[in-house]
This record gives sequence, C-alpha cells and structure tokens, in this order.
Amino acid sequence: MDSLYSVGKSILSRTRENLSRYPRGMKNLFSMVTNEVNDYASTPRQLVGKSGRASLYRYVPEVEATHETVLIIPSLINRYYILDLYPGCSLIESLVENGHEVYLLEWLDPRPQDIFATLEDHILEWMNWAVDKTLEDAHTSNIHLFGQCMGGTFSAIYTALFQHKVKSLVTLTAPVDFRDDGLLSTWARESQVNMDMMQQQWGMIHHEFLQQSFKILKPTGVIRKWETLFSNSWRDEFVQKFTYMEKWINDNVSFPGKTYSKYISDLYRDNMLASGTFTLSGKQVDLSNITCPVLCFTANGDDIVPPPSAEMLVELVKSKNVKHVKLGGGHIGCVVSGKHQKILWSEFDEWLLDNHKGVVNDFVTQ
Amino acid sequence: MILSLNKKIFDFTLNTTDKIVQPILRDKTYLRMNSFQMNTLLAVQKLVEVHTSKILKGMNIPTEKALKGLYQTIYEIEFQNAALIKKVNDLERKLIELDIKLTKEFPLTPKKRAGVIKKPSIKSQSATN
Repeated sequence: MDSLYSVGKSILSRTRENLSRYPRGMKNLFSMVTNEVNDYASTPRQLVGKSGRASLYRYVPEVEATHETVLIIPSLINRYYILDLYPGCSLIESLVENGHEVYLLEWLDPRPQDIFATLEDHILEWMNWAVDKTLEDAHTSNIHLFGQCMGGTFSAIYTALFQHKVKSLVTLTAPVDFRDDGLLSTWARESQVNMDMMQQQWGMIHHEFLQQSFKILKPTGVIRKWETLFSNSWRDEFVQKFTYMEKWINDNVSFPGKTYSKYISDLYRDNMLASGTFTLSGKQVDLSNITCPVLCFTANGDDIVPPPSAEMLVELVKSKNVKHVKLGGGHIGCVVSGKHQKILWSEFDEWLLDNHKGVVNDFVTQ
Repeated sequence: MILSLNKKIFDFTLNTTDKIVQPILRDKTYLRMNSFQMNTLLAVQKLVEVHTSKILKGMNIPTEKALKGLYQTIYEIEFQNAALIKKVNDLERKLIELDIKLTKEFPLTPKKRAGVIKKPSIKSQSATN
C-alpha cells in the first residue's frame, strides 16, 4: 500500500515538474525563433592585415599580454568562431584572459577568382604571410601554431616546412592519417566521382554540398538534435548554446575547387601526408622533420576525424616533447561542451606556460 | 512513465534506423551508383554549358568560359602584385640597412646628418661686401 502511495506521489511530482517546465520551455523556444544571434565571436580584436583570402586579427588582451604568442588556424570549410562562440564559451577568450597574445587567421569567403586558388596558395602564400605578419607584429622569432580540424592539418604541413618559425605545434582533431575507417574517408576512397570534372564545372565546391555530406554521415542526427532541444528547452543555458551552434552550423564557407581536388585526391585517396610522399610546389612534406614540441588533442566520439586519424601525428613527428590529450565528446562537442572544453582550455594554457618556462615533458599520453 | 516509455521507443527506432542505414552508406554498390549519378549530373551540366555558351555567343554576351578566363587573369595579377609589393618592401629594408651601415662607417656631424647648410659667417659676409 505504501509503495503504491509513493509511486503515485512520484508520478504526481514529476508531472508537476514537467508542467512547470513547459511554459519556460515554450518561452525559450519562442525567443530562440524570434531573436537574432548577434553577439557571437565577441572577444575584442583588431585587424592586423589582409592578404588574398586571409585576414589576420590580433585579440586585444584585457591585461597586458605577458606570456606566449599563439596563431590560430581554423578549418577552411567552417567559420572560425566555433573557437569564440559567445562570452564564457570561447577558447580564444580563455587564452586572452590567461595573458597570452592571440592572433587568428580568418579565411574569408572565396572571391570569384579563388576558384583557381590551390592548396599551395593557402599554405605557402596566405598562411606563410599570416605567420610572418604575426612574427613582425608580436616582435618575436617564433610562435605557437594552433590548428583546428583541417587548420591543424595545414599547421602540421606548415611546421614540417618552416620549422624555425614554430615554437610548438598544437592540433585539435586534425586528420593526418586518412586510412581510417571513418565514413568520410571511405567515401573519398571508394567514390569514383570525377574530381577534375567537378572542379571544372563547379569551380567552387559550394558549402551547401559540403553541409549535406556532413548531414548524411548520420541521417538520424537531425531528428535527434531537435528531440534533444525540445526535451531540454526549459534549460536556458542549453537553448542559448543551441541557438549559437545553429548559427555556426548554418554559416559555412565554400571550398575552392582546385584546393578541394588536391586535398581529396592526395590526402584522402592516396594518404600521401602519412606516407611522407606529399608535396607542395615540389617541396616534400615530411612530418618527421617536425622536432618542435607537439600537443595533439583528439576527441573520443569524433566521427568526422576518428581519433586514430589524428593520433598518427604523435607517431610521425620526431619531437622529444610530445603530448597527446584525449578529450571527451565529438568533433565539435570537445570545443563547446562545458565539461570537455574546460579540459581543453586548461591543458592548452598549461602547455603554453610550460613552454614559456622551458619545461620539457617526455612522451606523455593521458 | 508514459514519457520515458515514449523516449525508449524513440531511441530504439533511431538506433535501429542507424544500424540499417550505416552499412548501406558504406556499401560499394551504393557508392558506385552514387558516383555514377554524380558523374552523369556533371556531364549534363557540361552539355548544358556548351549549348548555353553557343546562344550567349550569338547574343554577344560573355560566356562562363570567358568570365572564368577573366577571373584567372585577376587571380594571376593579384599574386604578381603581392610578389612585387614583397620585392619593394625587401628593397626598402635593404636601403635602410645600407643607410645604417653608411652612417656607421662614415659618421656625420649632427648638423650634416640633419642636412643643415652651413651659413657664411658675418665676418666673411662683411669682407665680400
């Protein structure tokens, strides 16, 4: 009798709880639909210069920057502001608050003439320009290079070629070995789409096409996403993060055709970077040339860049000081999820401070 | 209880769908069909472009090929321009370095360095008068 009473009581209390959440959830959903997201990427910054598709920004520190100079290279197909989503959910903000001098290379929307832009232009011209400009502006001889996703792959390639300009290399979910069993790699390897024809016909690989490819990776993902929103709509913080994430997910950058063609054929299909046969303007890119300290972040639940693909960097470089940090969450979750991002921020800050002090760790795997 | 049961059914449906769909997405036949479809689409697009270009040419309107040619020229000029700017900057830097070297090897008096022309003294002026 008692147990029946307690079951009834618990059902009643849960119903009451759910009913009280309902108006709050409706209010949050309504404000999500009607309010426009404007205050994303709000960490103050100054334009240092522009070259082609690249813009270089310097983040203005609240206190005088006393520690290390970091140049951030974001992915080529997504906007950079996943690293600076909103106040309190920003890797860049945390770095600036910790007194580091932060620079960011922002890939601008491709202009019509960029259909001819090659992978060489992106790395040897624009990225090299950004590094040189950062060195000049920060009055230093080398910098910490941080790359996210494809930006990480670019950073690894750059470091292999211009070791002397890089103090340490930090990659976040950056693919290096493309022989993984992820769906993207499988598609690139097995698909017989005529890449040359695609490049000639389209010129630019439009972001709508790329976005659809990512959506097909998990067709039920869209349903799951909306279900999660409705069941958490009463939580203000959740809805706020969801709104910003939606803004970011639907704000993509198109991929210049020539760059896309080389990226897919040389890296995904032939896995040239991991095998050491990849070349840029005739220069061989050998990752074993990297001897500077390397910090590699991977995400356990990443289905876009599976952890083995990113981890390979640790094995290929010849650095004495290599650290591998396994984060929780997925490809994006590890950057924006409250629990995982705190680990990312603290590990990154610790790494920069250690390198500032000159502490050298031997091979560490967490 | 009803809500949690609903959630369980919902999750089960999605998980089962994922289990069915994921192998299809990796299936070689599916990928071959997909590639064939994509290549056909590209071929059709090319064919349409050829015919459109003919009509546009007849109407004296620039074709897509002509526009692409112009974009390529812009792309090349941009890089040439960047290379020239770099060369000019390098030359400027070299000039400054040379100037510093020169002033080190042949130190000038403060007046000469400032480019002050020496005025004739009052004595010499009165002598000439």
